[in-house]
Amino acid sequence: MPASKTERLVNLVICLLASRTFVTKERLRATLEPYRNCPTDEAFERMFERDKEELRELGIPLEVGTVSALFEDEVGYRIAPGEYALPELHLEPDEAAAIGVAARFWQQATLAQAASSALLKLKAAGLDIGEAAPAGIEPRVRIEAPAFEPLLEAVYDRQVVRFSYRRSDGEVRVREVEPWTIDSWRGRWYLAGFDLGRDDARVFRLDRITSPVLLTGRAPEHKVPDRLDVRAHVDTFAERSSADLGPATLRVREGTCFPLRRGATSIAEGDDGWDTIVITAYADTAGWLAEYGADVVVLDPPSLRAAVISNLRAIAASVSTPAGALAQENGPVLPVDGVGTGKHHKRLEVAS
Amino acid sequence: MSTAVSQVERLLNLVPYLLSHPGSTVDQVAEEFGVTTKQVAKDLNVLWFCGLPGGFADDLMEAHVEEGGAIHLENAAKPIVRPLRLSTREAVALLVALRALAQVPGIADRDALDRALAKLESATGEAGRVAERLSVAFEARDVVFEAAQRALADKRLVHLRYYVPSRDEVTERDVDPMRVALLAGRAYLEGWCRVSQAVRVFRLDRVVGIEVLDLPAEPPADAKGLDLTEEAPASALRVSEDAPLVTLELAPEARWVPEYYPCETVEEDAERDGWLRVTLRAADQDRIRRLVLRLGGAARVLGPEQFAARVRDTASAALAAYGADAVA
Repeated sequence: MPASKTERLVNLVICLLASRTFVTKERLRATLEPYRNCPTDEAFERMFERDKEELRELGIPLEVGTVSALFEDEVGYRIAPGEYALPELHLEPDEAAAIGVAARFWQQATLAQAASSALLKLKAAGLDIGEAAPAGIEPRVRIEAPAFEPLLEAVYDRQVVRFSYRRSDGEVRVREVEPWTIDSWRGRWYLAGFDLGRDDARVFRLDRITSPVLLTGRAPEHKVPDRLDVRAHVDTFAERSSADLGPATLRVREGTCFPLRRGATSIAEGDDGWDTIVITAYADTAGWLAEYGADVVVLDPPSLRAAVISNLRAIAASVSTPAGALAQENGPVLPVDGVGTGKHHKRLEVAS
Repeated sequence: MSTAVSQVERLLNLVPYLLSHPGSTVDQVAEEFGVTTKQVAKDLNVLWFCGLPGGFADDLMEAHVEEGGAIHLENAAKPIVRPLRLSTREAVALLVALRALAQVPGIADRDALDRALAKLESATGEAGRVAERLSVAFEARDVVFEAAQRALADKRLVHLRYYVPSRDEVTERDVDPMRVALLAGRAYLEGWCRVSQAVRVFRLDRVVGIEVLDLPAEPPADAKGLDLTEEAPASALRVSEDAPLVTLELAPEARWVPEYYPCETVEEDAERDGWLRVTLRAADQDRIRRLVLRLGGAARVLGPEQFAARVRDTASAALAAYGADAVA
């Protein structure tokens, strides 16, 4: 009989909203017919407990307080209208349009649903939010990692989580983490938090979580750092702001290496078919310079030159030498490509 | 959430909705609330039994449906004429999206996004602060992104200088913009490419130059946009089924490769702990050649031999450019 239950809950909400004072259970039982019809006190208690739970599940702010100063043990309930209702909101047409675009942002099921139910509440409040995207901007945020949903819940509730995690070198271990934030950069998702096993702050990639995420129900014990510090930590991990290793001077063949030229701080055209450019080097510069093969030669610094030569030698010799023997002398190879170089390899391959 | 609970949620929203949209039809409400018309009829029937406590008939609401389906709600219960405030999850969904959009470098209407954000933040209170624990950032170059949006809004043709990494070359083309999208953390322009006479998706971080021309955009009427809701531009990947497979052996530090390059197979290496053996198919093998060069000793080409030879030749030629001392 879902209809009668709905009816009961709606009437309970109206009743508690309408009352300025706390309403006792006895009074509720006398007022609302379904409670009045309960055959026993126990039946009423059970029904009322369940109803309270369901109102809380809906996010309805149910307050509990003492009914009068004289009888402190006499408990009552109410819902403060100011806490219940969506505050008055006035939106200009362009603001409403912006919210309309934001509501289409998520492709992930629960957030997409949350966005559309939020939109419906705004519409119910009389706000005119059109569906049309202004100027055709279409954001589409997909989240494929199954870890996202439980982690989001843990981040909201501040609960310790446990999961298996595969590091980039292949090592898989169980981690216990006090979660702080979930951030996305360039379509990849990162969890920042306090790793209880390592006793330090750590950043995890959601797509490297190899087990279901378990919410332990335990509250975190470590203080959450400032949001900006967490952000900086994630940025470093995601190589969003990799450390600047200073200038590097390169010779590049005419008409090649456009991404390098675009990021160059100076370009001197030569008359021998080669230009000399200066770029800013990062940790992964050696790796992607090797990609240009014979179209680029590192002049300076010597360390970068050596790292590129090392990469190339390993490959040139790979016909007769096992790769493992050479991996040691190789320069750093990092998983995320150079920021701002326009040189990226991702699954989303486009027009060519 | 149980059926009754979601119905309660819907009714608490339906009452203010009917008041702010008088004359809405059952069909319209069904569509807006994402339920069947039958369910709307059921919901309206429940309203007849809801109202102020008192037990008098005129304490209850009356939801009349006229011929033609228009709904008229009378005697609405005062306490619920405003919708319930946004739940944490609802607030997070909208606030995180607005913040993410407002922070895209060069986005049009930033001012409107910021104002909408400020208003929603003040209307959501504590939930708004929880929203700071989730964030999405897009990479975009403001000048290019801004020009692409402007061309789209003004319906103008653009001239693109577009970098193709696998060939390390910049191509020139005129494009009729059809859509600007933010996908997988990056900005894209979809349009009719007049050179290839087809719909193409361009990654804006690969646009070397963009010029909004003083000519109208005229994409063919039958030009169909790609389905961006799916793994989409993967369809633009156009990997031919008969392109030869390349087999690579990857050292532990190169285990990230299958996360970025679609692989046909990925297996743990039976002989070496932590190593992977993967096969990739790419119409344009230059892309994989570049990957192997970048990986250096962390990757080894197992086959085909012809491909391995090309990679080695590129490396040898590059070493030669460094002079005799560099050649192993």
